[in-house]
This record gives sequence, structure tokens and C-alpha cells, in this order.
Amino acid sequence: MKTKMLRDAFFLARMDLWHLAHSREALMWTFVMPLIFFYFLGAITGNFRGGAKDPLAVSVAADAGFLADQVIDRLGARDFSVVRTRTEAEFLGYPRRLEIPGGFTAAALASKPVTLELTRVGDETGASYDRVRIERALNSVRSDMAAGAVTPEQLTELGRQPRALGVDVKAAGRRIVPPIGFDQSVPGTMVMFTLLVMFTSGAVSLTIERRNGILRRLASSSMSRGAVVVGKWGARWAMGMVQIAFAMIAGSVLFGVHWGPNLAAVLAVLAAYGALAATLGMALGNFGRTEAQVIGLGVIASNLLAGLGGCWWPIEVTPVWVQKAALFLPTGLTMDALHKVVNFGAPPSAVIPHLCALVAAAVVAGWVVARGFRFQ
Amino acid sequence: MIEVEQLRKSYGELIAVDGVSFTARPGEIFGLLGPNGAGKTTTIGCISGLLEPTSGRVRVMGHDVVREGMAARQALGVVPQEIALYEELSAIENLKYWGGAQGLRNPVLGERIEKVLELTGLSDRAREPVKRFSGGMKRRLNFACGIVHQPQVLLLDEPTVGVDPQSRMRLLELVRAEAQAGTCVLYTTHYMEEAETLCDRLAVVDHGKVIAAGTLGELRSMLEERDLLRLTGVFQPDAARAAVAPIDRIEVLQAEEHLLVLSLVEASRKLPAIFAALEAAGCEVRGTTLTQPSLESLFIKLTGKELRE
Amino acid sequence: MHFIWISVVKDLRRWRRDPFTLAVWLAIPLVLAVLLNVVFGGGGKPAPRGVLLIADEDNTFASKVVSGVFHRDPLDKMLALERVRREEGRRRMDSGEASALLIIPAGFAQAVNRGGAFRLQLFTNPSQSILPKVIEDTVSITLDMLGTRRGGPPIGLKTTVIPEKKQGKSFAALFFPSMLCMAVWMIANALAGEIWKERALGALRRLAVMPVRMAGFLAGKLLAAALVFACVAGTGLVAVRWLGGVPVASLPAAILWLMLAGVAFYLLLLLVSMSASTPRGASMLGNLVMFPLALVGGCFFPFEVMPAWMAAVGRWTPPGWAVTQFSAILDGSAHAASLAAALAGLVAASALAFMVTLMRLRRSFAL
Repeated sequence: MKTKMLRDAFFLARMDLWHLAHSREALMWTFVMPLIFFYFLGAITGNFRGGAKDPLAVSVAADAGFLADQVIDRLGARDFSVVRTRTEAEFLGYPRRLEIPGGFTAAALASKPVTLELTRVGDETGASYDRVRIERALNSVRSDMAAGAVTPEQLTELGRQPRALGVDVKAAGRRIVPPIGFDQSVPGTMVMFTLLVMFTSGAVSLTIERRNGILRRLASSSMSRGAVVVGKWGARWAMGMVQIAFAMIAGSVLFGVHWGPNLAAVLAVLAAYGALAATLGMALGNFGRTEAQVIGLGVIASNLLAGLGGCWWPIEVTPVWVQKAALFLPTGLTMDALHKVVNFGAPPSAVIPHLCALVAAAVVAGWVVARGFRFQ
Repeated sequence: MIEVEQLRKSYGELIAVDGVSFTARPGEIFGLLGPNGAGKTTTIGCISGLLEPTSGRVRVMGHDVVREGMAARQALGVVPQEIALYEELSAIENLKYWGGAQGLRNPVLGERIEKVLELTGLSDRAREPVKRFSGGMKRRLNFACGIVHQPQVLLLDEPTVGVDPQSRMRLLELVRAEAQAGTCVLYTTHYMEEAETLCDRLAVVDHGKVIAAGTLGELRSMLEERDLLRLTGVFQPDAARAAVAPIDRIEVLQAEEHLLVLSLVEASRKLPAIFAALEAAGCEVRGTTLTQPSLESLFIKLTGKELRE
Repeated sequence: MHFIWISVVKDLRRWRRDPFTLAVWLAIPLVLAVLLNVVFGGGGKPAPRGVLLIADEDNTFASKVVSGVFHRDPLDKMLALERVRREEGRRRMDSGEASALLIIPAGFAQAVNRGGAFRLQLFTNPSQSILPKVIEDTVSITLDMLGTRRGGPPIGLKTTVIPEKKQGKSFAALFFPSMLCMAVWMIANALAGEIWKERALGALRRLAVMPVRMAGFLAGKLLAAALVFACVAGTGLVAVRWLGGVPVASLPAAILWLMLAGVAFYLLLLLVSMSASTPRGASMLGNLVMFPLALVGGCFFPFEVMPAWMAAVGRWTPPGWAVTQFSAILDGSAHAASLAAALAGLVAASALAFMVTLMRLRRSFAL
């Protein structure tokens, strides 16, 4: 009996998958649109990467002297990308600008007060950050001069020498750098579009079949009702897996995305996610009354889940409460698992809770759908 | 009236309509019959102005449909085969739109809407969205939208497809009423019994040509189709044979003591002569069954195929 | 004129009774706007503070000088200080709970007094870049002050902060023009696809045999669509102005622009839809045109956050052009002359699209 049921379910799944795969709209949203979104979202979020060095425009008066060069060298060591501007217009075009006045070196050598002027277009916090870094550079010049350096060579030599009192800096803990660029957009778009296709094509096809009497016909065939439900689910899950496989391959080949050292864990998470997405799509198709309703709710729900779940931007850049809330969503749970094993180097065991949650949710949702499946 | 003269419509090398000519008069229901691909739809398309003829002329109420298209369309009412109604709108809203498109304004529009709703039996459901209507109700509303502006010429393209018998009867009555009011009606249908009962004149179209036209009786006689007359009673077979033999083009198929079966042309006209001859021969006729050749059989004979091929 | 009017009424009635079609496409930008605001729009909240763990194993005046520096402005605003033991500090750093751990080993003060060498230890959070550097620099400056190289010429640093005006748009002001343009663009696509429903109904064919002009039918649809766009624009602008505090320099101009842009979008997308041969093909083609142009055209994310080349390309797309002008109208930077030119261009493009669409409608689409 169970063998027949599984055979029937497999047959139906195969037929449905063929049917779904021939829907041009489903193909477009499975293969074409994701590539466009991969690229666009990746280009946008990759733009947030920022330069390793912050540009700092420096205007040096003609008679500032050799100390200006020393200051500039030490600013470069503090991760500033120093641009010595030639004209006032060029200088004013930068949001971060430092003016070294004339007679700087002479005043400093004569121990007379001299003031550099930092102008920051922005907010106080940003200005404070810049101020500390520039003070460090200036302080190193001051202290080297206090130690007796008065020529460029002496300053350079002393600058290289370690201080008696110093601080050893080491990185601690794991580097958790939220993925940006294609490392974010490819998995995020993949997760979003899997849900979107399940919620639209996957759900609406069920609604259409009910309207056309196909489900009623299936219910009165020799197939058990369980076989019909499982078969329908199987086709949708398979479609989701095809989409995921395409996204992973395209992501690697076209966008250079690496899926981390634990591919098996990644695939397990995505398979569980695909199962849940297929079940939720069936739920929508089952309980929705009209095609317009199903598509409408599907589009809204998938966008909401994608946005809140960290598919569009790394969840790590959002407020803590949003990050916590995301873990209650299928998209958020999946993205968190992917970030852990792909981006943050966590071991496969770190995503066992995610797997369990996704599978449990799929089973519960599946049970609800199976119990209330409407054949007409 | 509709005047079609040597209408020709070709699509490249394919000639869809080839020299079709007929005239449909006011107050008349003119049927257009033909199998699929005969050129029926193309002919209707040319008359309604949807398609431009390759050659020939079509006039509606004297207006050339190509040169005076607007004037021709003003006289025309079309009940298309598809139910061209906005399902989100109610019956009244649909009538307001289609009536308005035909140039009607209030208060005339309002009066006509009330009238056609009453005619089609939709007054009670006038404010409901059309999507809640049954198929028959939608067809009736479709018809109402075609006649709301009291057209002088009415084109009906299979208006009763998929309709329940009650609604169909109602629609046919409405069509007759329009013709009786003086409207020139051009009617296409696949249902033989509709054409037989409804149409005053018919044209049979095949391969783009009119292969026969006229009243049903004319078509029957044209094809020399014979009626079958079955008489029951008390007969002397030999006397009965001899009595009916002088009647023109009659053939005795069966002559027995209680049954006489005759094959003849225009039997209904010849019945009195047959009864008189048999009475004179001492036969007693107690029951009469007259079976006339059907339009279907005529059609098959003319075109060599069934109407629904 | 009467036929145009009844066509407008007909379409408005139909769209009102089929809310899902419009609601779906309106919902996407709404969902996006709400999400973006909830997730990122925390205007007015205090800037996040880092955590500095200090394991002072020396516990002397000198060590307190080092740790005390972080109690002063502006560092006290940037960092929250916590005193910990070394082991606890290491554990918390390993789990990424703080920006840095500063360990001042025992013997620091002695080294300072004798002028000898001594090293403090600073463990930084590798996921953060700014605060650990600030902490490192501050500690280094303080150590220089305590060390043998104290003193030196009085080189000062004066800081002037100029608040950003142009880029100081609130989050809502930055994203709102994009969101509203996206709504109009998507609604235009949905409305354009509706022509296939009328074709399937047979309504177009019915109209073709009536004494009306297709131009009147198309004009009626345009006017109805324009009213929808005006409603969406008006509602969105009023809501964001009163609830979100987004400045709107000229409400009538903004509504007018968006309404006309919507009409142009509608005509363009109608033409795209009608060039397909089936309704499903039309839907696919519409989405294939709509989504990429919406992405590149600044409807999802504003041009300000895009790579420069993408923004340059995007500004030349229909939605991008509309967004750019719309933003200028909102923030009052649009000049009358440039706006008039833009409006003229919009009207001209719409007129051309109208004629081409009408031709297609008359020649084959309606039949």
C-alpha cells in the first residue's frame, strides 16, 4: 500500500514538475530574474564596502616646512588616504580637510604655538573619530621632537623606533564581517526567489487546478489522497531544488561566490528550506480562494519575509531586535545558517538548530496542509 | 438591410470569401450556415466592419461599410459569439457603457436600459456584478447590449452557444421580436433546429462561396428532397396504389392493409389531393405522419460534410 | 467626449472592484518602505556605543591615567567602559562582545617612573574597524604623554564641523522618491496588462464594430490611469509629509509630475504588453522590462547609494528620469525652466507613444 502510494506520488511529482518547468513565467523567475537581482543587489551592497583608507584633503602652505611632510607621512600610517590639494576649489571639494598653515615648521621648532585646522563635513561623531587619529599623528611628531629630533632624517629615524611605553595590538575572537556584494546578494536573492516562485507559480498552479476540476479528478482516481498531496509537494520541492542549484552554480561561476568549506551543511539547510517553502506555497494555494488573491498575498509575503529575513541586506547591519526577530522567519533562519557556515567559518554543527527548526516547521505546516487539503 | 455584393476577402493566397452575394431585408431573419472554415466568420467580420474586404461591396442600410463606416456602424447592432461583457460591472453598468458607446444619452439611455432588462428578464439582477450570472443570463445580457440602441440591423454570431434550453428559447423569442419590429437580422448558428425554426431565409456557405440560398422550402425543392408520408388506416393496397399514382412525382414505398408509405415532393401541398384520391378509392385514413427532409440532411447533401466538422 | 468620459468611469469602476491587482503592486513599495524605515531609519536615536573592557592589573595612578582618558569627552560618548578580569575579558572578546580589551599588566607604573620599556596589551574586535583604532590611538597618545618623549612643541588642532545639508536628508527623504516612483511604475505595468483582459473578453472587438473611435477608448484608459496615479501620489505625499516629516517643496507640482510620469510609463508598458502575442507572454515581457528598469532606474534604491556608473546609466531610463525630476521637485531644487523642459519632453514622449499604441490597437490588437 505504502509502495503504491509512494509510486503514485513520485509519478505525480514528475508530471507536475514537467508542467511547472514548462511554464515560461516560472522559468523566467527561476533563471532570468535572479541573475538580474544578483547583479544589481550585489553591485549596490558592494558599494557599501568602503575604502580601506578615508580620503583626507591636506592643504599645505608654501612655507609650511618639512614638518608638514612628516605629519602627512604619519597620517598615512593612520589609514588616511592623503590628497595634497593644489587649489582651494579642489580642497573644498572634500568632506574631510586639514589645513597646515604657513610657518608651521618654524613655529614648531621655535616651540611657539601653531594650530592646524581640521574641517569635517558631517556629524560630530565622525569628526571625533578623525580628530583622535589626526591627534595621534601630531602627537607622534610632538613626542619625537621632544626626544630631540629636529631634522627630517632624525624625525624619520625616531618615528621608526619603538616607544618605550607602547601597546601591542592583537585581534581577538573570530572575524565576523557581514557579507556584502555578491556574497550577500547571491544567497539572499536565491532564498528570496525560491520562496517567491513557490508562493506564486507553485501556489497559483494549485488554485488553477482546483478551479479546472483537475484536483477533483485526481481525488476520484485510484491514487490515494495522500499520494496526491505528497506528489504535489514533491514537484514543488524539486522545482525549488532546481532553482537553488542554478543559483549556487551561477553564483559561483558568474559572481565568484564561495559556498564555504561545508557544502554538505549548506545543501542540507537549503534542502530543508526548500521543503518548508514548498509546503508554505501549497498552503497558500490551498487556502487562497482566487488566483489574484494567491498571487497578491504571495508577492507581498515573500517580499516581507525577504526584507525581514536579511535577504536584501546582511541582517548583521540591522538593529539587534530585527536580527532576533529574523530567526523566527524561514528566510531569516536560512540566511543565518548560511552566514554561519559560509561566511563566519562556523562548523556544520552550528546549523543543526536551524535545520531542526526548518524541518519541524515544514512537517507541521505539511500536516496542516494535508489535513485541510481542498480538492474542490 | 444588408447588401453584400461579390464580397471577396483574401489573406495572401488564401481566399476566405470568394464572391459572396446576398441581401437581408428589414423584418427578416437571414441565416448564414456553413461548416468551420467556410468563410462565415470572415463574411460577418466584413459586414460588421472588423475586416476590410479585398473587393466587393457591403452596405448596411445603404451605407458602405468601408467608405461610410461610422454611419454603417451606427445602424448596426452586434451580438458577438464571445460574451463581451465586463464581469466586474453590473448589468446596468454594462448597458450604460455599451449603450453610451452607441451614442445613447440619458434619458433615452435610461429608458432603453430599463426596457431591455425587462425584455431579457434581468431586471431583478440588474445591479449585481455579471460574474455572478449564469451562462444563460450572461448571454441574455450580451443580447441586451446588442439591442439597447434599437439597431436597424442586428448581427448575431451564434448567440445561444452553451446556453440552457430555457434561456435559448427566450433568446430566440427575442430575436423573432426584433425581426417583427422591423429589424434586419443576420443570424449564424450551428444548431439546425434553430435555423429551421427561426430563419426566414438561409444561405449555405462553403469554401468561401454561397452554394445555396433561399427559404427552407426553396432549398428543399432545389435539391429535390422528398418528403416521407406515412398513413395508417384501412386500405386496399392495389386500389390505394392506383389512386395515388396520378399525383405528380409520387412513389409508393409500402402499401399494406393498414399502412401506406409514400415518398413525394412537397407532400404538405399535396395532402388534400392524396386524401381525396384515397377516399375515392374506398380507403380510410386514420393517422398521418409527415417527415420532411431536415436541414442537416440538406446541408450534408450540399457540402458533403456535417456542420460540426 | 462622452465616450471618453464613460470609458474613464468604466475603468475606474472595474479597478475599484478588483483591488488585488493594484494592491499587489502598491504593496511592494509600501512593504519596502516600511521595512527600510524599520530596519535602517532610526533617525534621532543615539549613535551606537562601543564597549571597552579594561583589565587593570597594575591599579596605580599611572594606570588610572590611561583608563581615565576614556572618561573624557568625546570618548565617553563613543565608548562604554567596563572593568573586568583578564580571563573574563578574553572570553568576552572571543565571543565578539566588545570593541577592545585593554590589559594594563602589573608593573606599569614602575616602568613609567623608571623610564623603562613596558607594553600594554590591546585585543581588538576584528569585525570592527573604527572604534578599535580610536582606542589604540588614544592609548598611544596617553603613553607618549607618560613616557620619556613627553612635551614637545605646542602643535594644536582646531576642529570645525559643518553639518551636511545636501546629504543630510533624512532616511525617509532619501528613499521616499524612489518608493513612490516604484509604486507608480509597478501600477502602470499592472494597468497596462489589463488590456489583455479586455481583448480576451471580446470587448475590444465589440468596440471595433461600434461608432466610436479607438482613440477615445485609449484616451479614456489614460485618463483613468492618470487619476489612479494622482491618487497614489497625493496619498503618498501627504502621508510622508505629515507623518514622516519629509519636506515637499510643492505638492501640486509633485503630484502633477508623478501623474504625468505615470501616464508616460503606462503608455510605454502598454506598448510593450501589446507587442506580445499571448497574455502570458505579455505578462512576462512586462516584468522583464519593468523590474530591471526599476532596479537600475533608482526605484528600489536611490542613486545616491549606487555605484556611480550605474547611477549614470539609470538616470537615463524612464523611471530614473522621473525619479530625478521628482526628487528635485520635492527638495525644491528644480528650476522652472528645466521643469518646463522636462514636462514638455514627457508630454512629447507620451504623445508619440499614444500614437504608436493607437496604431497597434487599431490595426491588429483589437481585432
